[in-house]
Amino acid sequence: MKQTRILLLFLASLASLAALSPAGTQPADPSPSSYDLTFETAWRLIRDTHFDPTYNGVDWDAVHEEFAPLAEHAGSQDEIRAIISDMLTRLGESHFALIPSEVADVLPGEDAAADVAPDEAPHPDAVVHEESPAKGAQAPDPEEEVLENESYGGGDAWLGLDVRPLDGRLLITRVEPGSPADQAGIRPGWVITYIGKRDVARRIDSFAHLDLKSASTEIVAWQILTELLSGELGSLARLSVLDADGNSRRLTLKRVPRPGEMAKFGNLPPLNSRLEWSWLDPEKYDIPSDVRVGYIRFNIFMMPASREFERAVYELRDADGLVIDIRGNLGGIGALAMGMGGRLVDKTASLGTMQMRGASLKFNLYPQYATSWGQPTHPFTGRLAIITDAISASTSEVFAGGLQAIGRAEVFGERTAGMALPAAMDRLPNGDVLLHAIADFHTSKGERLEKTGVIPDVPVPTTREDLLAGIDAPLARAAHWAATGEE
Amino acid sequence: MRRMPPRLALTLAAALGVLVAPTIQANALAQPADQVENAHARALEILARHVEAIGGEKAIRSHTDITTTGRLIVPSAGLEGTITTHAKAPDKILTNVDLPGYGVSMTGYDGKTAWMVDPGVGALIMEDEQRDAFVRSSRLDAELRIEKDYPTIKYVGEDKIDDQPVDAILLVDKNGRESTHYFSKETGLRVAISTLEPTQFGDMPVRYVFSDYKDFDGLKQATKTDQHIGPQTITITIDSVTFDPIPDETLAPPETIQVLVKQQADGSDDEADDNSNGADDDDGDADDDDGDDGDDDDDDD
Repeated sequence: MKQTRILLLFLASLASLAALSPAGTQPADPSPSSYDLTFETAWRLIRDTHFDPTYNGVDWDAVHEEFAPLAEHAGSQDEIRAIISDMLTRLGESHFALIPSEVADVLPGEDAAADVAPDEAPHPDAVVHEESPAKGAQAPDPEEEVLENESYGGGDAWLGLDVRPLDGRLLITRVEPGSPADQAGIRPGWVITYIGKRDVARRIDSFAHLDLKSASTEIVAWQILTELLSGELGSLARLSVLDADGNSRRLTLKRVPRPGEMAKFGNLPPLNSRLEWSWLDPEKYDIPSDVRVGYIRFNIFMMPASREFERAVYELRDADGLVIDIRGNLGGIGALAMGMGGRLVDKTASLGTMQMRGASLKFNLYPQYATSWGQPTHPFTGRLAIITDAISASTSEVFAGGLQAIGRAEVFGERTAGMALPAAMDRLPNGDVLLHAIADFHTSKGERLEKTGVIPDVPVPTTREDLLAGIDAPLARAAHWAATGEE
Repeated sequence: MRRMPPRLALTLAAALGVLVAPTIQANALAQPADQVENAHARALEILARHVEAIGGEKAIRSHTDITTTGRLIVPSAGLEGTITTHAKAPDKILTNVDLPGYGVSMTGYDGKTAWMVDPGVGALIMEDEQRDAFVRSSRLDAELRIEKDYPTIKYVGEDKIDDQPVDAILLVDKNGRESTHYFSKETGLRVAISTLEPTQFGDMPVRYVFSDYKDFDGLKQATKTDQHIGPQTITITIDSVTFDPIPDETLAPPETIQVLVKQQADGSDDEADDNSNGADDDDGDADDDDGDDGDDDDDDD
């Protein structure tokens, strides 16, 4: 009986990641004989493990009757993937997706940008070319020739800017100091109008007209456009940007390593994990001189971020207030929300319940009074603010919504994506990975996060005007509250 | 004796949710008062047969140090890692599960403290029912103590596990927690357990299925265990079992747990001021308020 203790952590560890980006991949091993079985396996997995026996009101047998004949005649990996993906959209829920084997099987280290320290030296030749500014939004010269090594997508190197679609435009929300974008003088609040020769506004508009039942159009647009901005290390990207004065600039930038660490977990593809922390500048954020406010920002719930989170909270444990920024955080390993949360509560509590078919699992928080390196410590007990946006999804929503529901955190910013279903990742016969929700999640107040998302206590929209003025409004409001308790 | 209708557990499971069967089953198969004694005696016979099937009391008592290594697989997550268990009589145990991309998760009992350290969830000391269940299963002579550990033991009927005829026995521990154990009618070996397990995540319905019994120095052990929880399955396979003496140091809790134990003993969670082994400042732009630059190595990795 020695081996019989259940290992529930690994169930809680199941990925809860809002969406993946399988764009730009090719079949690894097309084997048409496996397609029928691949379809049947995917259909059965959902039949047997979907948390809702009514399949969200969908007649799952009828779905089989509709798609099985198509699967029988699928002639390529692309075709069977399209059929299964189409089937998954019928459920109208997040966390049903097909991850191509080529994406799922990449190992850490295969990517040229893997494991790069955050303090990578500046890149003196990162700004390759800049044309003279022109007034107003300008389309690229149709005759502009494609440069050698110019590419869009297919790698993890970056230009050093964070973006998000907003009001039909692609707004630059943050520029990494020392990055190619920074060296080119790009600033938050500027707008990217063209990526290469792709008209960004047109793309965003086309996303808005898609009938996406299982994901927010904003997340899909964000993922695809972020993918286009990424690429192989050293590759070139041409951008047209609209600056603060309404001038259009055409820039050619060289991609550099993305700071952070590549993390691989099970069947998930490798994901960049990055966490930063600091004490907030009292002057900049109008914090009284006798008050200290810490700040932690991370992009995904993976082990590297979890380890660094522990260190960050340890250093910031005696702050008066703490701001945790999970804007743009798509989620990750569900169990990590518990571990991180345990460093923020001084009493046992629960983020909520993961309800599977036939079993439920409470996301309990256990206050942490010792570090993993054997140091006595205490949880952070001061004012806790969490910043979210429309890209914050999945485990991010469990974390923010769970802490909000127990009254531990005040949430600032924007409503989250509403894509919060814990999912499993089963391998299919053709080598692809089926991401499929196996549980629903409700906070301790009984609130369902799927579709609804986390609604901020203090809504603070991101606006271009604020960014151009050098103001990160959600952070400013959260920092003020964390420092004073006043909204 | 009233026999359990075949497949009742599975029917109920299908109707009411997978693996709520143990409780339902016990109620459905409650024995009339005049049959309780027989049910108890029959259960003891089956348990005794199981002890003999795995090697007998002498073999169980003669192995006081057991190290087991194997693999742990979570197919639904694409995870495969290693699992190592050190167990020392009477009840000390330490288990490491090393999963790529997650780290080393540890559980243990050193004769005093039952504990868990997990890279994701953190460190905790088990209490109450969870501790009781953990300690009970940590005993190397657990198979010989069932009458001591379970005030209620009764035979509840026949069933089938994977088309294999089995006898089902209901055990109820001192906390009133029920578990149903299934023993092969052919071999006498335990082939499954259904229970509602107390865990750090609440009570979880779990079904363990044991197979591929092999002989290790006169002791038979299942080398494959499937743990079914809701729609999920975790598979553990054993590659090796050795009986070399295990030093007490091997079974000592990690430093993190020792800190918690000391805090409990002191009745305080006050942290020490000593940051000599603290965390690095690695943010690059933080105001360094303490200047410590300690060791990065995590004890649980």
